[in-house]
Amino acid sequence: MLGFTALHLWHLPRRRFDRVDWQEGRIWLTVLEWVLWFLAYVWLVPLIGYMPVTLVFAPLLTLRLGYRSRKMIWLSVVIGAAIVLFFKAFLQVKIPGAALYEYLPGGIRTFFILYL
Amino acid sequence: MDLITEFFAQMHASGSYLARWDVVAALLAGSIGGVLIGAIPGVGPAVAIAILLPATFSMDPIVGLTVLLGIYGSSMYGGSIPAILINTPGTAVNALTTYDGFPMTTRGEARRALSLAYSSSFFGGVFSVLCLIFLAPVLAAVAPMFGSREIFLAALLGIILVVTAHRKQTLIAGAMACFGIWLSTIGLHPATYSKRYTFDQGWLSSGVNLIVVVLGLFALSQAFILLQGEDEKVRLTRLKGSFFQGFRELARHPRVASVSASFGVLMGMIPGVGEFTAQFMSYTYAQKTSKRPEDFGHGSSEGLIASETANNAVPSAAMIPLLALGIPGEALTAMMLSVFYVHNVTPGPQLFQNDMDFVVALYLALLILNVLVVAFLLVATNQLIKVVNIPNRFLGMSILILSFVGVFSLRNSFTDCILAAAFGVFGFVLKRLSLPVVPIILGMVLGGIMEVKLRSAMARVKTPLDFIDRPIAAVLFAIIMLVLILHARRVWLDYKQQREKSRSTSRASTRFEAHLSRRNRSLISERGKTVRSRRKTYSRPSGDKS
Repeated sequence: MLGFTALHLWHLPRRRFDRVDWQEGRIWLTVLEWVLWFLAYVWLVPLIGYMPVTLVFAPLLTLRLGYRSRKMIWLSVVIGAAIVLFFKAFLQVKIPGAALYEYLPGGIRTFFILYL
Repeated sequence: MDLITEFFAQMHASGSYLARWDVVAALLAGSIGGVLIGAIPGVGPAVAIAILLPATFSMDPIVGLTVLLGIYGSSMYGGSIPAILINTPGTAVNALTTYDGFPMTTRGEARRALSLAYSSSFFGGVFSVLCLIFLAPVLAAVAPMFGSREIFLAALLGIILVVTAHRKQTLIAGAMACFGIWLSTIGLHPATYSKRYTFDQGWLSSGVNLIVVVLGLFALSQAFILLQGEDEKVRLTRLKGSFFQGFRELARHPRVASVSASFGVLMGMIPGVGEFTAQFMSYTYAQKTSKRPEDFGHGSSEGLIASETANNAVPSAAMIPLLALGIPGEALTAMMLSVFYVHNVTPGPQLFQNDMDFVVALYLALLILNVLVVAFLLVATNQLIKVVNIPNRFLGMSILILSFVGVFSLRNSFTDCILAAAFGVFGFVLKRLSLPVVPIILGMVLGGIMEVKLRSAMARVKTPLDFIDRPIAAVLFAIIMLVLILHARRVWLDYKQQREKSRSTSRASTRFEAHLSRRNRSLISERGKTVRSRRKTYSRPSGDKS
């Protein structure tokens, strides 16, 4: 692996660092923002719940992306809800109930843990 | 005659697999979902399959595989729509469709191009499934001849082909494949219980999960690319009339269609080759044998037929090495392999011997899928093309949310999510630098297979020659050597061409200093002296007096 990588780097044309390279580096760093969004989402789901977090996360991220129209915000809420219902309620994928759901009263608690 | 009777008996038995409601639902979901996913530029089948993979683990193997196969097989139908209408391929393999499809749209023949793409895709898909159904008994006879040694060599051939297929990027593709092999070795070894590359970290002892890597490299990196990019304004024209005319036009080019489909089947069967090579070969063939080769790239119907038939013939053929030998030839089949593993079904020669009904059921599902997709497209194309309008960044947001389901539902582990995010950033950087990602996945899957098979093969190998003393092993070894020799030859030719290019002055710098330095070099060289003396001889001033 190292040998192949070294050969690849050796074959590249040699030149100094350019302004374009710094710009490219900045683009690589901007991705870290989306990584943080993703990790925050992952961290919050087991605490607050899959459905509630998704219903807030989707419109928030949509706003951050620069969409201000009501249509797009509502669309993001609908898509978020549809994803949760499809995967958790219909396909029953393994996403555990949130810590917050424990405080809900009996019947609703089971419903939330199983489907939302 | 016996073979045919046996075959029909098998078809009958496989029918019971397909007559279940969940399989029918999976077929519908896979075909329609696949077309939609293909039609949205920016979401390929790899992203969709990576996200859906953990969800299919709880399903029956036939149901889960039908959904995934459906997405794989039908995404290319959908991918041709934006390729033809807006010059943006919906999936990577539809890139060649833009060459002839988009010029047809600019001529006002969008409907003709789309119907031709659908009919050629249908022909390619059905042709390859039929080939496979009739080849199945032959495969069932040949597959048991593959022992551990042969499977090891076939996997090695797969890795070598994947690496050498990345022309001009072979070195980095090799590095990526080795990186994948290394990733597969991390963790506690199941046979020897030795810890490998775990650095005494608990979270590394269970190894790096393939799905985490796949989701990071395909889904999350694609989400990052879309989130970081810009939305594009797309203008679509409404299509009027029926899409049936393509079938009539396709019937006028039976030679191009059948040769392209055969290329697709052949290239699909060889691990590590796939759609791009099949398309390239069939397109070149169609252009060379065409009466109007100058039309290619400017809206030639033959070019469109060649590329669309070839790429749709590949998915079913790609199932051959997966089912018969347990060796995936590309990233998508590598992902499907994990569905088999989860259900403790080991694809390979035993599957063909003991569970032929299952294999034939998969082929039949593919056949039905092609019919469903064409029927859907003939009716719903006008509604379907609206998905092209979904803004890129919004799509990125949706993929980010969907990726979470994929990673988190696997083991409910936060570490997996961090790892997937890290691979997402890595994939993003690789895509920005236009470096290959697929060799990592194949290295991971094939590396694991190679290790297991090499261990079991070594028990019977006393001298190095024992490794290749069986006929199939010898043939595979010969093919590996041939591929390596051909590759070395190509590298040498490329090097020679590049050296010639660097010596010629046509691309040299036009700066004055560079010009002077070149002139100076020429003046002092031996060849320069001979050239100057020759010029002197021929351009001596004439002695005639006028």
